[in-house]
Amino acid sequence: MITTSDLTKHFGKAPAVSGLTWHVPEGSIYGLLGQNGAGKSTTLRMLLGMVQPTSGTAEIAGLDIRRDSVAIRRMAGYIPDQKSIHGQLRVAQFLRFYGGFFADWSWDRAVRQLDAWQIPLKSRMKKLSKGMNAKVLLAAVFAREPRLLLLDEPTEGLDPESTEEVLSLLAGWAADGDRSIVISSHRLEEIERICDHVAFLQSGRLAISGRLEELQSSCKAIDVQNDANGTIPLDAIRQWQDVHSTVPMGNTLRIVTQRTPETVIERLRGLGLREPVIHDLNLREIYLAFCPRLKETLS
Amino acid sequence: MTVKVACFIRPNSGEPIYQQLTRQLKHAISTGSLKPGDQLPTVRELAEQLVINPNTVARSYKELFAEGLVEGTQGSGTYVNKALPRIKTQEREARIEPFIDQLIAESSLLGISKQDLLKLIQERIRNHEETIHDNDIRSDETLR
Amino acid sequence: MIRKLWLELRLLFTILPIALILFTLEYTWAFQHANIMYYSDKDGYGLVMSPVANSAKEIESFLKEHPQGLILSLQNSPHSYFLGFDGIARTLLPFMVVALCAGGILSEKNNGTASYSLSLPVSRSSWIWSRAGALLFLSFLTALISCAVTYALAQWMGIAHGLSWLVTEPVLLTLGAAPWIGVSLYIQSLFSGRFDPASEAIIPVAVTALLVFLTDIFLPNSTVNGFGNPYLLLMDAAESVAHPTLWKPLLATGIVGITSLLLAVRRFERMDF
Repeated sequence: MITTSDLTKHFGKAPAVSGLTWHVPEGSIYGLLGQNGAGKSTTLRMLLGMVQPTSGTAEIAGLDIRRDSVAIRRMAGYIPDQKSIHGQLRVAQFLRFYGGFFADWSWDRAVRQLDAWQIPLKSRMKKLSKGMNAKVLLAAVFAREPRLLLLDEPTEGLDPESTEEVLSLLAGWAADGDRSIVISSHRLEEIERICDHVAFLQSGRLAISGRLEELQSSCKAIDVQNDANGTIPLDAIRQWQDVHSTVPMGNTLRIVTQRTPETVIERLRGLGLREPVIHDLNLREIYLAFCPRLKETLS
Repeated sequence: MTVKVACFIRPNSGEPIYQQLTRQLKHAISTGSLKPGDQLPTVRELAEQLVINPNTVARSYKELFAEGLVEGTQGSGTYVNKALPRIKTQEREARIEPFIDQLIAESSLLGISKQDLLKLIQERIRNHEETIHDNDIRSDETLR
Repeated sequence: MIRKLWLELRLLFTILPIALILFTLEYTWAFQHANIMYYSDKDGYGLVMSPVANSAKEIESFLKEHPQGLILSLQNSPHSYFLGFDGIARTLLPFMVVALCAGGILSEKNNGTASYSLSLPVSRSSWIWSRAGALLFLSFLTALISCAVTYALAQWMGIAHGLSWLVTEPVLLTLGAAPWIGVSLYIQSLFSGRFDPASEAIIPVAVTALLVFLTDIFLPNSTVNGFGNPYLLLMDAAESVAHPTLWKPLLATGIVGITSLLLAVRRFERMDF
C-alpha cells in the first residue's frame, strides 16, 4: 500500500525524518510507534502532501506523493493529531463541509454514527471536548470508503470506554475488503491488540519494523545465571549475532534477542551454564528495549 | 444466528493473541460451550467484540479449519464441525506429547512429585467433565 | 468549499455594505448642507466640500488655488452628487476589501485547521484562487449594493442620472479595489504561521490597510502605471471617447492583482503544515 524510499525531512538544520525506507502491506493494520518528536506525525504529513519532503520518494497505491497528492487524499482518510479544529462550525456544518469533497460520502452514515455516540449535531465544535471532537472527525471519515486510513493518535483524549468503541470500530472496518490502516500512537496496549505490523521510529529513523508476530517470536528476554562453574562471558555474548542488548541484573544476565532466539539459546546451553529461562516480551517491553532514551542506553 | 463466544484476550501477556484465541476457542469446543453445528461469529464480529485485528481472527479460524474442528466457506459462515475430526491414534499421541513434556518439565521445576501431578491431572479431568455436563444441561434448558 | 467560504465571510460581508451605505447616507446629508467646490484643471479633478458656515473664507482660498473652479450646490449640478460618492467609495472600498480578506486558510496555520483542510482532496492553489474569486465577487456585491442605495437616494432627492451608472460604477469601483485582494493574500502568506491565531487574523489586515493608506497619500494620481489610483484612470478612460490608455489601468490592476496572487499561491504551495 505504502512504500517509502529514503524519505527525509529537515526543518532547517534539524532532521525530523531521516532516510525512512518503509513498507506498509495492503490490508494491514500498521502501528507507527515512537516518542514525541520521533517523526511519526511528520511522516504521515509527508505522505499526504502537507509537508514537502527534503529528499526521497514515496508511493501510496502506486501514486507518487509529490505528483499525485490530490488523488492520494481522495482515497485516504486522515485524523490529525490536533483534534480541536474548525471551532466556529457546528457539527452538522463541519460534516457537510467535509462530505462535500467526497463523492462516496454518506450523510446518513455519519449521523447514525454520531447518534450512537450521542454527539449533538447542533453544537459548535469548540464547545465539544477533545474526545468528542475526535469522534466527530472519525464519524466523518467513516461515512465514506477510504482505502487507507492515516490516524495520528486517534484515541488521544478519549476515555477508556470511547477508546474501546473507536478501536472496535477500526477492527471491524479493517475486516472488510482491502483496507489498510496506519495508526501513529504512544499507546502500546492498543497497538498490540489491533495491529498486525509495527514500526518503531526513533529520532526520525526506523529502529525496527515488521510483522508484530515475528517481532514477538524473535524478541525474547533470556535470563542466564552466574554459577559456581564460572562467570558468564559478557563481552563474547555481546558480540553474538542476534543479541540485541544485555542487562546485568545482579547474579543474572538478561539478554534481549532479535531475529532467531533459538541460536542464542543453543549457544548459551553450549557454555554449560544453568538452563536459561526464556521470557516472552510484550510490545511495551520490546519497545523499551529497542528504543531506549539516549541517557539510558542499556548495553 | 451466530453464537456469542466468551473469550478473554490479554494483549500484553507476551503470548501472541492468535494463540490465545485459538486455545480458548478449542477449549470452548471441547467443553461444549460451542456445540457441533453452532455458527461462530464472523471475522468482523469477533474482531469488533474482542477489539483485535481481524487477520488474527481469520488465522485462528484457519487453524481450526485445518484441524477439522470447524467447517464452512467464506460468505456462508463458520460452523463447529458436527463430527470430531478423525485423527489416527499415532498422530493424536504425537500431537499431545509436547504438551505432556512441557507439563512434566514445569512440574519438576516447581517441585511437584509424580503422584501429586497425577492427582492434579485427575482433578482437572473431573472438572472438565463437569463443565461439559453443565453446558449440556444449560443448552437443554434453553431448548426447552 | 464554497459553503465554508461563505460561513467565514458572511459576517464581514453583512457589515461592510451597511458601513458603506451609512457613509453614503452621511455623505448625502453632508452634500445637502455644504458648499461643493469642483475643479478640473492641471491638478486633475476633485471635489471639496465645506460647511456653509465657513463658506466665504473657504471659497476664497479654493478659488485662489483653482481659479477655474466651480462653486456648486446640489441643485446646480446633479452630477456632483455622484462624483462625490465616487470619491468616497473609491477611497473606502479598498479598505473594506482588505478587511474582508481577513482570516482564511493562510491565517489558520497555527491553529491546526489549515493542515486538516490541506488533507482534503483539493490542490493548494485551489484554496487561494477560490478564496480570491469569492472575495472579488463579494467586493463587487458590496460596491453594487452601495451604488444601488446611492442611486435610490438620488432618485428620491429628485436627482436624475443615467441608469448606466449603476452598471459602470460598481465595475469600476471593484476593479479599483481588486488588486488589493491579491496583495492582502500575499501579505497573509508572508505572515503565515508566525503569530498566534488571533494576531494572524489581524496583523496582515493592518499591514495591508497601511499600504492602502500610503498608496492613497503618495500615489494619489495616475503616476505609477495606474496602480496608485486605477479608478481615476478608468473613470477617465470610460468618460472619454477614444482613449487609448483604457487598457493601461486595466492592465496595471490586473498585473498587480494577479502577480501578487500568483506569488501568494507559490508561497503557499511551498509551506509545510
